[in-house]
Amino acid sequence: MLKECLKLISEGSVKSTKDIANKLNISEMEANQFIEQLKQMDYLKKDGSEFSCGGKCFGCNLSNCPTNSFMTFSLSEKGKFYLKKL
Amino acid sequence: MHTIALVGNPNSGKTTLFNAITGSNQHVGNWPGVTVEKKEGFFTYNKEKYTLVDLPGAYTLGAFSEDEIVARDFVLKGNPDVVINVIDATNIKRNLYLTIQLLEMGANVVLALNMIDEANTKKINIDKKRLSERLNVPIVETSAAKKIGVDELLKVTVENIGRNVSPLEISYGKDIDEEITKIIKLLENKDFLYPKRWMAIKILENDRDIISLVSSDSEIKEYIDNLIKENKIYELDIVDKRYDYIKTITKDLIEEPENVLTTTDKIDKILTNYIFGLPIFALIMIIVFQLTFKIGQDFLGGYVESFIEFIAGFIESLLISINANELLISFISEGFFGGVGAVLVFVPLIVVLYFFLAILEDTGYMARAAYVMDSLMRKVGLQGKSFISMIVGFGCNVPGIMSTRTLDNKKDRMIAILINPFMSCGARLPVYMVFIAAFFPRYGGLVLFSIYALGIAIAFIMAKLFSKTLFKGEETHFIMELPPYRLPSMNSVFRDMWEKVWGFLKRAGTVIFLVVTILWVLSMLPAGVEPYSKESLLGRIGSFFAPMFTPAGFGNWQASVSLFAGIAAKEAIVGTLGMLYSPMDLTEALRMNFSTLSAVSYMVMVLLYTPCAATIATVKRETNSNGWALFMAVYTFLLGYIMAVLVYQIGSLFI
Ligand SMILES: Nc1nc2c(ncn2[C@@H]2O[C@H](COP(=O)(O)OP(=O)(O)O)[C@@H](O)[C@H]2O)c(=O)[nH]1
Repeated sequence: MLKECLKLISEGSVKSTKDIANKLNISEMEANQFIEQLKQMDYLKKDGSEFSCGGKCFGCNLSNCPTNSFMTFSLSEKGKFYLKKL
Repeated sequence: MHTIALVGNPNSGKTTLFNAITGSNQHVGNWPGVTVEKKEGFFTYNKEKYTLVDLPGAYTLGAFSEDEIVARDFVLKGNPDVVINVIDATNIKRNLYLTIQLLEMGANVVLALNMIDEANTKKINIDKKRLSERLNVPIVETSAAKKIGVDELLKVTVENIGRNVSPLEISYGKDIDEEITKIIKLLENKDFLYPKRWMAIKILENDRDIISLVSSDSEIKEYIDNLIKENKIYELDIVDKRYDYIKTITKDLIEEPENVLTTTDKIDKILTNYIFGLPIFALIMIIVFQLTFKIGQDFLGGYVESFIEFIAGFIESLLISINANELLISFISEGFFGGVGAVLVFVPLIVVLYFFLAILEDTGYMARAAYVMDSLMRKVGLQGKSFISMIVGFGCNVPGIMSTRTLDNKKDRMIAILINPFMSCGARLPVYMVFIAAFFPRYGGLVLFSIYALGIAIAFIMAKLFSKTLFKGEETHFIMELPPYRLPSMNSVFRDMWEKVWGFLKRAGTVIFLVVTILWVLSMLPAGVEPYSKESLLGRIGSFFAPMFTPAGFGNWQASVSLFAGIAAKEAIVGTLGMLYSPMDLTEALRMNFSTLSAVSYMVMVLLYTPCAATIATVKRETNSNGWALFMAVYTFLLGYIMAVLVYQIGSLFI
């Protein structure tokens, strides 16, 4: 299942664990578990650093800064390498 | 004295259990050589004293963190008599993953099925007896928080000291099992402290700790190198097999209600719905814009306007009464109050709009909006993640462009930068507001929404174009994790709002003031000319460019001058118009100089044309290229111009 999760993400056909659960016909809890596992094993990495305006720019409106935002995870080098070898 | 170890996933209630067992009999130290905290305590059972060691919480016993290494080393080398594995009964399958690994190590495990109270409330039923048989481990139900089952747990633990256990052997499938056998052979007669089969599995799992340990042996090292050469990567398969094993072992033993939806899930079902998500987003935005007008203009706007008028009148009469220089009076009343004042009038609207946006952001809704937009954005070659930079851009394009730094991929980043100015920033708001007040007073929310929507649409079209032409390249794919909904923290919302107002006022007092002053001087020269007339220097400059804008419907010189002023800062557009038409009321003046159609084409132009100087400078800084900065300035101008002409020309056919 881990492999399938990884493949689905790399194909761009899923955008949440909900989608993964649907595609693989597993429960969302399981899908979450697999994703956590993949993160822990460094197959998925958290994208980008958090952006913070930090009052550095003139006229910047902090309220528009992402205060309660989503996170995204994509394939790490390890993950990409793994799929290539498959 | 016997030693008992306590292991479990984070949040399984391990600490609570440790405290419940040891009470105050505990002390904290450090594990040798690492920064991981070591907690040790004592308890007595049947008059005998036992040591209880609290191992760091972990989901797995790999080598992914110091915590995991400390925990597994203690289990393997610390010779605990019993390992109490605390598992969260409400999330048993996940927690059993750790259990399986303990069993593979050959640990003498007693399971504490913790949070059983919560499992009961959630109607999760676990067949404890059969699970215990299948796993060959004693299981005790506990609720550490309510101190239920703790005595029983100690009893069973003590009873099981010295129990004869052999390591669990899972079949990992033919290929892997064969490799395991081969590695075990290699490990024979070599004195590593760990169990052989466990080591073999760890080697195949690519466990860096174990691999560096065995690499001292040339024979094994060669074997491992060969595995890598032959692309035999088994890590994921092994983990998968363990999950399969858990699935088999728990089959028919766990009853849980189908998908208990949390509040967040329930709300998300509607808000991120495949079909309704987008219309709901649009509707929410229309409501926000409409409310902005209702509260910001109808309710608060009047006060600020009267206040500014009052001050202006007061100062003007003061200046007249002291016989001040005529030029000074003209500058103060027309330049300062007519120009800068025209911008200040919009403070309430801005406050209200960003108040609502801050609430949407803080509750977690904006993250959903990004999620909903993602499918659409992927189609045009944008990333859902770029939506963050777009939302930031609605405040100001400078941080909007800076926030594209979170995009790792060069292609995604360049596209996100180039389309950011189409996100209508707060400084452009006053322009729409005056035109709306003059021409569409009753449809403010809708017109504003359409402008913002047009900006997004153009951004998408340009993104598609860029990804097909300038920036081809691989796309990065990802999954999103949405934050849970929460109540907005009014504290931060109000603080942000204040900063917004302050920033706006600061700009009005500096950049806008400067631009207006320069333009005022230009409109007074050459000496003796009728101020603000076509013959003034400013008028002549404006008249030179004005014909260019005739096809777009706003070929008057004031309109073109203000557009150029807008390149310095967008608020200056209103400031300039306000000054040039003063002392006439700006709304009145606009009605005389623009038609409804040319008002629309002018707003389109303002939305799309060259971003302000600060934004262009940011593009240069972020792309490290003058070329892209210039490209940005020129292509947006052309696009804005073409769109404005199209709007006007096509509109003229119907009106
Ligand atoms: N309902 C319930 N909550 C518990 C139980 N045991 C612990 N908790 C709660 O679960 C949370 C995490 O517990 P903690 O001991 O810090 O977990 P640790 O990370 O494993 O050390 C705390 O808020 C505890 O109060 C239990 O048996 N039942």
